[in-house]
This record gives sequence, C-alpha cells and structure tokens, in this order.
Amino acid sequence: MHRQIAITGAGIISALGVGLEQTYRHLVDGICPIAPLKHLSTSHSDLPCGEVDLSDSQLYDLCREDKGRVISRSSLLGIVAARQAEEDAGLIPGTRVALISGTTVGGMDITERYFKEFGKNPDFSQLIRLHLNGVSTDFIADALSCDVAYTDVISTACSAAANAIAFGAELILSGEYDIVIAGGTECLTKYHLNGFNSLMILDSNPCRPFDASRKGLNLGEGAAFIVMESKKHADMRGARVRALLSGWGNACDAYHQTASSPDGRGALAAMQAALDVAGLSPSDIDYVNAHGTGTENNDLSEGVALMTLFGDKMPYVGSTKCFTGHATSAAGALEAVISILCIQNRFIPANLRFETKDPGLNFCPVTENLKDVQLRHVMSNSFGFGGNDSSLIFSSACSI
Amino acid sequence: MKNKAYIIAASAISAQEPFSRMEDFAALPAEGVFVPCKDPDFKQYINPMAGRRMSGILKRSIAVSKHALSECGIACPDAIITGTGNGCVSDTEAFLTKMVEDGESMLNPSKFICSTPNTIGSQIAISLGCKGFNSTHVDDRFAMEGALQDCLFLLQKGSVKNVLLCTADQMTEGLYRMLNVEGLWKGIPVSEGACAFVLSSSPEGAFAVVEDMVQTRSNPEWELDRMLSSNGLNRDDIDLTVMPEDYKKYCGEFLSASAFGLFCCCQALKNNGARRILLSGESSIGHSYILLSGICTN
Repeated sequence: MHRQIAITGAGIISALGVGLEQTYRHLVDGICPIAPLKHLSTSHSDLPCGEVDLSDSQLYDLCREDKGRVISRSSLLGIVAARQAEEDAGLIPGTRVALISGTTVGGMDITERYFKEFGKNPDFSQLIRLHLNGVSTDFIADALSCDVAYTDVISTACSAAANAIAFGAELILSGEYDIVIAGGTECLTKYHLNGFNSLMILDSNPCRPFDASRKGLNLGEGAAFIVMESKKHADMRGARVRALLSGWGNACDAYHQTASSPDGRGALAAMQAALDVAGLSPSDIDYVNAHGTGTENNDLSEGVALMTLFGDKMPYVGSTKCFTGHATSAAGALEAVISILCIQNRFIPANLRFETKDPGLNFCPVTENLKDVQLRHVMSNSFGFGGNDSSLIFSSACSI
Repeated sequence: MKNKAYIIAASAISAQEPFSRMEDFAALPAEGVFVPCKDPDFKQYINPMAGRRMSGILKRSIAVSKHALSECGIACPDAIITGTGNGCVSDTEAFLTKMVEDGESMLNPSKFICSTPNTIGSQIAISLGCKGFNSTHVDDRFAMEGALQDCLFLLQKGSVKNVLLCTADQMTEGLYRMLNVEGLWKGIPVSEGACAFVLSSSPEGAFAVVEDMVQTRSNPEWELDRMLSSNGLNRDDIDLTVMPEDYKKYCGEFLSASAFGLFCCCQALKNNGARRILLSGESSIGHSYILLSGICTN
C-alpha cells in the first residue's frame, strides 16, 4: 500500500455537464445526454454523440479567453477541467506542478477547418502549429495559476488519459514532483467521427454496452484532470483527499491494429498488473467501471477478460459511456473522475439501456442505480486501438 | 541514482546512410530544403505483404527497432515505449485530404486506422509479439525525452529488465509545402528519421549509461544544477555538452531529432570509453538535459 497516491482535486467537463456537482447529479438522475450533434459541423450530424453542449464561443467565455486568439476546442475543454482541478485541490498560485495530458486529436479541429488554406494563405498557415499535441497542451499549462514546470503528452488512442494518470503517479513516486495534474482532453472532430464511421462501429442509436444486441459506440468529447500528490504531502498541507490511486497497469494485446483479442489477454494482463501494483486481489474490487464501448468486439473481449480475472465472484460492472459517449483519449480521465465520485458518494450509476445478457458472458452489468454501496476499490479500464490496454484502481480514502 | 539505465543498443535511420556510424556521417546541405531519409532494404525486417500496407514511418520504426534488438541479441523486449512529435503524418494527411476534398462519404478506414501516433508502438509490438508495457509520448518538443523518462521509471520499478525505446517522425512533400510557406526552416535542412535504443537495468553488454535526466519549462539552470548535485556532480564534471546544432547538421530538422543526438552520444561513448556527456535540448517552451556516461571496460 506504500505506492498509494492521494487525489486531492478533480475537474470534469463532458456531455454530462460542467463540474463535479452537475456530473454527479446527472448520473444520479439517469439523464442520458447522448443526442444528435449540435455544435460540430458535419454531414453526419444525425449520429448520436456525447457532445459537450456548449459552442466554441461559449467555451471561450467559460475560459475567459480572447476570441481573437485561435484555440483548439480540445485545449478549451482542457482549460475548463484543469482549472477546476487545481481550484478543487486548493493549490496556491505559483505551486510547482507537472501537467500530463492524454490526447490524440489535439488541435485537429483547427487543422480540418483550415486545411485547404495551409501552404497558401500565410495568415492561416501558422495555425498548423496548433495541430501539435504539445502546443495544444501549452494552452492548458499557460491557463493554470500553478507554475507548470513540466508537461508531457501521452497518446495511446483510447487509453491515453489512463496512461497519463499512470505516468503522473510515477513522477510523484520518483520524487521529481510533489504535485501532478494529470488527465486528458479530446474534442469531437470531423476527422475521427468519419474515421470511426468508416470502420462501421458507430451505433445510429444511443449505445448499449454489454447488451447482446449492441450495435456499436457513440463518440463523445470532454476533458477531466485530477490533482495527485503523495499521501504524505497531502497530509502535510492539510489537503482533503477525495480518493486514492492505488494501482495502475499497462499491457499490449499485440493482436490487431483495431480489434481486441477474443480472450482479452491484453485487458487481463493490464488489470492484473494494476492489482499487483495495488497489492490487491480480485475479490477486493467492488466495482469495475468498464471500458464498455458498446462495440460487439470490445465488450465481448473485455467481458471474457473480466470472467477470467474474477471467475464466479464478479463485482458490479458497468460502463458510463452510455452517458458520456466514448470520449476516446479523454475517456480514461472522465471515467477516473466518475469513479472517484462513485467512491465518495457510495454510488454506482446504471449501465443504461441494457436488456439482454450476451450469451458469451456469464454476467450482466448494473442495470439500476445502486445507492449506499460500500466501494473500497474501483477498477477503471481503458483500452485503445493497437491493443494499448490500461487499468487504474481507485480506492476509498478510508480504505487504509 | 534513481534515474539510471544502461544502453545496450542504439540504431538510427536518417538522412545518412542506413545504420551508418558517426565517422561516416556527411554534413547535409545547409540551405532550407527537404532531405528525405535514406531507407534500408525493408525486406530484411518486414514481411513484404505486411509492408505493403505500411507507411514509411511504420516501416522505418519496425526496421530500426529490429536492427537495435539484433545488435544486443534480444528477440522480444519486455516493454516498448515510443516517442513521436507528429505521429503518422502521411496516413493522417491522406485521410484528411480525401475527407476535405471529396466530402464525408465513401472514406476508406485503412488510412485512419494507421494514423494515430500509437500505431508505431503497436505495430512494433505486433511484429515482435511483445505483450508487455506499451506507451507513446507525443509532446512535439520533447517526445524522445518523455519516452526516455518513461523507460527509466519502468526499469527503476524493476518490473521489466529491458525496454525498447523507439522514436520516429516523418515529413511528406505535402506537409513540407504547407509548413514552408513562412520560410519556417531558413538555413536548416528539413528531414525525418527513426531511432531505436535498448535500455537495460543490468550493465551486461552496455556501452553507455543514462545517469539521469531532467526536462523543464521553467528555471533550466536551477533544474540542471539540482540534477547534477543529486548525482554528486557539478558542471565541471561534464566532459562534453552536445547541443542540437552539433547533430542536426547530420540529421536535419525533425521533431524527435534529439533522439539522433542521443544516438551520436552513444557512438561517442562507445568509441572513447569512460566520459561524461550532457545532451542538451532546447525548445520554445523549455529545456532538457540528459546526463550520459561511458562504461569503463578495464
């Protein structure tokens, strides 16, 4: 248990709303925000997505940023969530921190908007720089009141934010940084909406994770960041500890660029590695916030891995992508914050729209909200294209 | 000594002859032109059937990784960590061009599938059958440095004995035209490249040591002195400081070019025995310092 990291702040923006309170309330109310697109300009606007219901202009206002300055929507979302996190943790302005972000699309929204102008119009050509992941993260670093002495960006597709949180934990354990702000951000873009659409894995209706008749995923967007520090450091400055990060694991499926192996070996290895770091056994896990995208392949592969790990003692399992959509590189961060909210409120949200058990699986996800349930340890899974599988374990601050 | 790791293999594919050594390097033309990579014969490293679907950056990454692994006699590393500033640019450009020019229908997913930066690390993993830890760092200024730091953490934890570090960036004619409108690279040749290193927690077979590293956006002088003093050193203990301009004349400008700098340091340490080198990196947002030393063979 000596490796535990205290989580002393959190911030989130997603289809569920802005901030911890709104996010939690909408989860409890069971309101599903997955709907046709309003803000992204695309010919596929009929596809249901978990879009943040704010225009770019409204996001600029929320961030108090100058509209004359071109900023990627990913950066704007990231600024909102990271600022909430540093405020929530009560960090004194100027505190030396590291910022680790997970993202893949970065400034792709700007790139696709001005793509035809690049190389022709010098006024727009400089905007190609915003495509770079480091540059899009700089906007977040520069918007914080802390002294961001170190930034890094991790891009492992849909597990990027989970790996950013794990890397942040290593930075703390190394003693290099007392405080790390880690998470991820991703806005919806035409680029990856069309990419996922061309793969034919988008459901034209709201997604149904783990249901036998599931037809695919809905994309989502958002950002979430958590403030991490050693338990000792948190106690020393008298910080409130929301939860602990007690385990993190990473493994590669090494099976196929876009498909998961049928036995979910990468997922299983990542979950086992996280348990090993935490010094926990499968029976200690009370709830798995699954990757659960709603695609036929992922949910079966992940489900088989869960069956192998937990046997007939399956903990509560559910996917919250039925609320947020799949926010790709930010998903691991959104689900980290949701897991922390669950632990603090002794609550598990329903895996919406589940009706029929998959014949290949021996378990059903949580179909109704569970209240007053003891959550000592929650496992959060994030799996990416290319078999980049990661698992995080969050624990109740009262668990030690 | 928490940040220490041994380097047991180093390879590079760059604008120089494939897998050539430092003594054979020739300076690239100094004017702002695009000098493409000189690729090896990929058939030695990649099944031609699989290679047909791969962009240059993927083929280079797999080839340079396999070359480095063969140098130290490791068939499959315990972990793979990738650093890339701009990822799989040619596939991204191809999918984007089709979408922007032909509209949002009838798009072929194959370019999209290979366009995410982690395609590099996952394709290396698939080609080697490596199911261990796998991550990708993409801060465009410090992609190699972020990946190297991750390697050091992993080795330090003791969960792995060796790690493959692969860095790669590519340039396309199209991207060069888009970027060059402002004369972005006056006087510097633009290029591309892929480098691979095998790091180990054991000194067996090592020719260089990563003693420590630091990367920072603020207070570079303070962070450098802090790193040196935590290793019982001061600036006088550094025999050689390698700056970006020292190696970019051989590899040109690309986002993860500092990996080529690390490759050059490895060559210098291999040739000259025990010496201490500081690889210094600088960007618009900060500095990085990697402290390296040679292995005393007697």
